[in-house]
Amino acid sequence: MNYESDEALERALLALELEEPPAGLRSSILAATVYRVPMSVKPWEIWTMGVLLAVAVWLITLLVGGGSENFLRTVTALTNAAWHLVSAPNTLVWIALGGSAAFWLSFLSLAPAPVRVLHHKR
Amino acid sequence: MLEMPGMISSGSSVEDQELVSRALGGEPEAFGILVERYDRAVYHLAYRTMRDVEEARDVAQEAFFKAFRSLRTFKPGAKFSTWVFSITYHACCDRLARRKRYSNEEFPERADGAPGPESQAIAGDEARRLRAAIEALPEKYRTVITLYHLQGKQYDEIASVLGIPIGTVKTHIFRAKEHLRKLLSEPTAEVYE
Repeated sequence: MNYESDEALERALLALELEEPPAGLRSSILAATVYRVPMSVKPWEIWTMGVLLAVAVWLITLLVGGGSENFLRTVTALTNAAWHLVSAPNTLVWIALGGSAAFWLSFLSLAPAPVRVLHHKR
Repeated sequence: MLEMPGMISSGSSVEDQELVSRALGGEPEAFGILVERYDRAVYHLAYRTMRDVEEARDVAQEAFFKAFRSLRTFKPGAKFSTWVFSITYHACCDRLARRKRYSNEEFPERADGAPGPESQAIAGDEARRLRAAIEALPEKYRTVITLYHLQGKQYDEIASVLGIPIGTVKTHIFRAKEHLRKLLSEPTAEVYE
């Protein structure tokens, strides 16, 4: 066939059949997207649960190993340390600054505009 | 405009938009229809760019996975085909760059009609001859001619996929056609060997 004319070449190009994809391509794409089972627990939830579990194990070990006195002393020390940290003026200033920054940032919309969902009248 | 078997009808863009909206609205099956509609074209683009069946398959999967995950960033009014082709093309570029970085193998721009996998096939069939000629093109011309084939004469869409100016797209298509004409005008044995 002669492809000297632009039209003939163009027609031949546009008429060319697409490559045949390998078997199973569509099903593997669908499995990875549409039918992908979402994680029921979010990563931060797993971390929180892990930390809480570790603290619980530690406290139980204290309770079992050293008796209730040791346990109470540890809990009191921890509470005092936390209270001391939070009641420090510098810490309060930073908490206030962080809180107000988060508050003002919450008014900004940096995410791309979502596509409008179309509702059809029946 | 000519409507040929290889092309994707521009009339489908409204429906695509609706399918995207439905997928975002909690109907992931709507994305499945988009996969059915474009998987072959996406694979075709990946195969033409990568020239490797396995890599093309991986790129096609990766492109749809990325598209599904970032569906919210799809701009209303844009063409889904252009968007997914752009994701595919960038995935191909990443892989080609990685291939060059980790391999000593050279990937020359093959303007000289060096043989590809398909070019081993026995000539005779015009379509096969044309495919072999396309495969022998340098990468940038091969991709642009593949997109020209997939999207018709929509230079702006091709420019959007490749991230280059429309003028450059026109120049590349012109040169790609010149290359093709040259390759196809040669005796069959020379195109394939």
